[in-house]
Order: sequence, then structure tokens, then C-alpha cells
Amino acid sequence: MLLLAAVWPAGCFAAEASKDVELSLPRPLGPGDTAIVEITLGALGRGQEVSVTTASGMPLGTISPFGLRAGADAGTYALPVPKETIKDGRLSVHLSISQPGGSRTPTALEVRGIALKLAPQR
Amino acid sequence: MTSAALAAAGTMLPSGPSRAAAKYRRYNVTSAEGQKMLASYAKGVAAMLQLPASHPQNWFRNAFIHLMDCPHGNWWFYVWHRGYLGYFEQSIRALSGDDNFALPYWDWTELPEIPAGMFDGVLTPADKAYQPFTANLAVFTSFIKPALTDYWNGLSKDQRGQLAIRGYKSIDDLWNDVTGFSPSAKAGISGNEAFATTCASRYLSRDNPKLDAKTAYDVSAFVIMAGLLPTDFYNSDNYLSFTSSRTASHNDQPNGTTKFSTLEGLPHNKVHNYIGGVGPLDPGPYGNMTNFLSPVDPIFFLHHSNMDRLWDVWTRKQQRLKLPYLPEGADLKTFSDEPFLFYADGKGGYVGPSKAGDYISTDRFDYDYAPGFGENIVGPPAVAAAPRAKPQQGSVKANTGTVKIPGEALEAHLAAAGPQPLMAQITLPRPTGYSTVREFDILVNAPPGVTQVAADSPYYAGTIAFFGSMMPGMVMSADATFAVPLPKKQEAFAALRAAPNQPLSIRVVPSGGIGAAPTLKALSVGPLRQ
Ligand SMILES: [Cu+2]
Repeated sequence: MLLLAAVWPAGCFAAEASKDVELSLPRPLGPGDTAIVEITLGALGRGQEVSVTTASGMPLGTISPFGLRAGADAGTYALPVPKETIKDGRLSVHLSISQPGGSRTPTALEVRGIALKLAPQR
Repeated sequence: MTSAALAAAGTMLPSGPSRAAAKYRRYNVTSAEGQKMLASYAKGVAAMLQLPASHPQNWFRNAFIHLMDCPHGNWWFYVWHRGYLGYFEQSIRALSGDDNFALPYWDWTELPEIPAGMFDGVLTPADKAYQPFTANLAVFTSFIKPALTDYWNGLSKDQRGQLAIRGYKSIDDLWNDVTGFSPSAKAGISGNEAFATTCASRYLSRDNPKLDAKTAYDVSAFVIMAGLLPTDFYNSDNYLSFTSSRTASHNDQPNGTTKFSTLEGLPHNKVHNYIGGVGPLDPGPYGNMTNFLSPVDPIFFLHHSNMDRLWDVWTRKQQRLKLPYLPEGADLKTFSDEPFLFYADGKGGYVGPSKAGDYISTDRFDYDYAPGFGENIVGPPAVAAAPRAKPQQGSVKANTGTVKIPGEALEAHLAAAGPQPLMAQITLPRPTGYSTVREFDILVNAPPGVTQVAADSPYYAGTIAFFGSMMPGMVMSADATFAVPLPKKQEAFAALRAAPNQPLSIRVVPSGGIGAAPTLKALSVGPLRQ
């Protein structure tokens, strides 16, 4: 399993190296905080979706780009994360990208960045 | 949820800042009123299908307004769709002959499947009434392209400018998106085709109406509550922003710099795509809902009615918290001045130039929403609804709350003609976790052995329902205080009347006996303010 800093720079995640990515919180989770996985996607094929779960398979959301011109990068998405899935400030996530007949690990061009962030209570 | 549960939860619901009653009400499609609206909706859709292709209210021409002008992935997403739905609602009102028509909404969080009525007649694009127009691409082209070309040729310079930003410099550019033709690849790509044939226009069917697990997750209580959490209308960090990216024009198409808000990026997009078959039908062709001709499927308007409702819920939550609910300062002017140039109105004409600012308020179309999922975040903290007369503070021991009630207060409570019941203020920690609904029954003076009650039990005082895994920060504290009216049931108070020095006891148990009892944090009981 890769151990990454809070921000996962583009290109450092080799598609075949691992299926799970370990993310760290930028600071300890406070009582008013909501944890968010922020994911930046590159261009996907039409109809392709990126599913995110915890390493143990709990769903964290499926990104299904809508309204993109063919070939356009899909942009950045925010997925809320239930507190209980974060242990000691860390969260292991599993990414998969759909393709006809199944799914596979996305490449570094498809998932360009991923980070665990905190939305504080205001 | 039982009606008693609603009553208990209802004391948390609140009127919010008072608004004059709206002329029209958008109901949940599953309600009796919502079902009546569907009947009028079908009449209106049938009438729009019969209008000539040259008519702005023709069913398909109406969908092309969306294809030519809809914003996605930017901060005008909500406001543009509010205008689009508002005018569409006027058209259905006029063409159905139902003067009270208002669009029903599909609350997918509560009902993660296409509402049954949406498979009837013209309410599904797979109906035979669509066949004369969408039997195949050639039929569709000969029906609509000449009229659309005429319309294109009459567009103003400003309209052409906006279309150019969208990537449409000519009618052919636009038409390539209808056919899926890629000029660079010099080939058609089925998955890019906005047109869908009648029989393949919607993936979900009467026999297979349910959202799959992944889509159901994206519309789950947890995700929706998180999407309502941001306190900024716009923030450059999308996890802090209610809306998606701030762009130069509402016609800027999403790209790598786009930051989707949680509500647009997850429930909005996923529902669109799944209904059209993204996933099961890969690599296409897909149904209507997957692309910018999605308003060809009548479910589009129920889906977007729910998105618009969530904006309204978020706005009222902001007002309650005394926080801004629009961009501020110069940003508000930039946001409001954005020209919207393509709408058609309810009388069959074009609206002409209007601005985003015209559609910020629901007053523009004079409607409101019957409460749906998320409404409970609008309410003021329950303490605001606490009785004015000082309540009796109770104590909690072994997860049972006890409180002394003065004899006359008890008699006043039990008097059949008594004005108001005693109210218990019960404080519980908000549950965490992912289950969608957490319900707890309130027991009054129940003997120790009673751990589960039916609604007709003399000890039953109602059900407290938590919606979803409440996000911390959603309300003012991690605890929630509920105001629960105590039942006027003689049996529950018989022992107390016989021994006036004994305290009243309250316990909170999981409804249906499933799961653990929550930790009772505090209890008080007093008369409701009159
Ligand atoms: Cu939409």
C-alpha cells in the first residue's frame, strides 16, 4: 500500500502499483469538521465512471461525469467521508474505473489527484 | 415514519423566516397532490408533443433550449435551471388547462427509484407517442432540423456570441452533438449521440425502476446532508461551496478546472446518467437523460425540481443561520448580470433577454415546496421552540430521565379540554454512521421491563427520527434537543397521580428494538407556551 501525504500529486500513482491509496488528514479531525475526499479527474471515455470506496469496500461515492465535451477533463469532485472510516487521521481508499464488462484501476492520467481535506464548521 | 414520529420531528420543523404563502406549491410526486399534478403534466406533455417543430413550446424544441444554453459545472447551474423550470411549468399550466399546476418533485433520497407514474403514457420517452419523432435519427432530423435551422438563422448577435462560447459556431456544430459525429475523428461515436431512439430512450423501466446501489449512495441522506453543509454560495474550494465553479460565462463548458459542488457532482450527475444507462449500457448508445437533450425525458423536470428544492432548502437554512445565501459584493453583480437569452415562456413566445438575477427568488414564479428530505436543517435549533414558562429540569441516571411535575401541571395536562400538553425537551447525541434513518421511541412512565412499544401503547410518546448520519456542523451542536409533546393518556400517569411525590420518568429506546439505545443527555418538562 502506498503511503501518501495529504495531497497526492499528479503522476505519482502508478496504475499497476497498488489499488488502494492511503490518505492523511491535513490536521486532526475536530468535532465540527467534515472530512472530504477531493478528486481531480482527467479525460475519461464517454460513460466511464470512477467509483471510490474505503479499502474495506464501504462506498464513498461514484463520479459519473455529465455534460462534458468529448475529450475534456472531467474536473474536481468532493465526496463526503463518514468520520468512522478515518482511523488515526488516515483513510485508505480504493479507486476503480468502469469499462464495458467490468472495472479496472484508473491510470494517473484518469485520476490526476486525490486528497483528504477538512471542511470546518463555520 | 409514523404520524407520531412526524409529530415529534415536526416540533423541530419550523417556519423559518416567515414568507407570504406562494400561489403554487410543488409537491412530492408520491403525495396525493403530486399524483394529481402528474395527470396534468401528462396532458401538457401530450400537447407539447403535438405542436409543430417551429413552435417554441414544441416538446423537442423545449429540450433544445437546454442543449443550447444550460450551464453545468458553474455557479449559474441552479439559477438557470430555476428559470428553465419556471417557464416550463407555465407552459404545462397553460397547455394542460390546469390553472393550479406546479411541477411535482422526485425526492430520490426518500424514493430511490423512478416514481411509478413516470412509466405511464407520454411520461416516458419510450411511449409510442414519441415514435413519430424519435423512431430513428432520420425521422428526428427531418422533423426538427429545418425548424431549428430557421431558428438559428434568426438568432441575435448576443445569442450567437453565447453559442460560440459553447463551441457552436454553426448549426452544424450543434447538430454534431445530436448525431454524435466527431469532426476530428471523422466518425460517429455512439456514446456521444444526444439523440436516442424511442425504444432506447430510457434505461430504467417499469420492471426495473430502481436506482442501483452506487446511484442510491450518491443520493443517500449522508451525501445530500453533506451537500447542504457548505455555508458559502461560492467558495473556490468546492467542498466549502454550495455551487460549482465561478466561470466567466454560464456557457463555459466544464473542463479540467471545473470544481463540482457535491450536490451537482454526485446526485445530480449520477441520477442523470444512470437513468440513461451509463454503466449497464456501456459504451452506449445511451438514453436521453445522459446528455444535454435530457429534457426529452419527462423525468428530467422532476429530477431538477428536486435539485431546485434543495437550493431552496439551503437558502432558507442560510437565512435561519443569518448567513449570506448569495454571492456578496461585486460578485453578486457579476452573478446577477449574466444574460440568459434563450428561454421560451408559457404563452408560446420567447422571453427575450433576461438576467440570472431575475431568477434568484422563487417569487419570480410564485411557488414553494412541500417539505421533503433535508427540510429539517432549515428549522431553528429546537431550543428556540422551548416553552416560555420555565420547564422543570430533570436528571438522568442509568439512561432514564426523571423529572418532578407539580400536581396542578399534571392535572392541567391530563384535562381533556386542556389547551396544550406538557412538552418534554429531550437531548440526545446525534447518531453517527451511515444508516439512512435512525428512529427512537420515547417512553413515558413505562415499567422497567418495557423496552419496545407499539404506537397504541399508553407509554408511547412519539418517535424521534434522525435523518441520515448527521454531519457535525450541520446544526449548532453535536447534540440535538427535541421537543416532544407528552401523551394525554391516563394510564401512563395513573401511578404518578396515586403517588404525587414520584417523578415522571422518560426513556428513549430504538424503534422496533433494533440497535442500541442512545445516551440520554438531558431532560426537562414544562408546559408549552400558549
Ligand atoms: Cu440536469
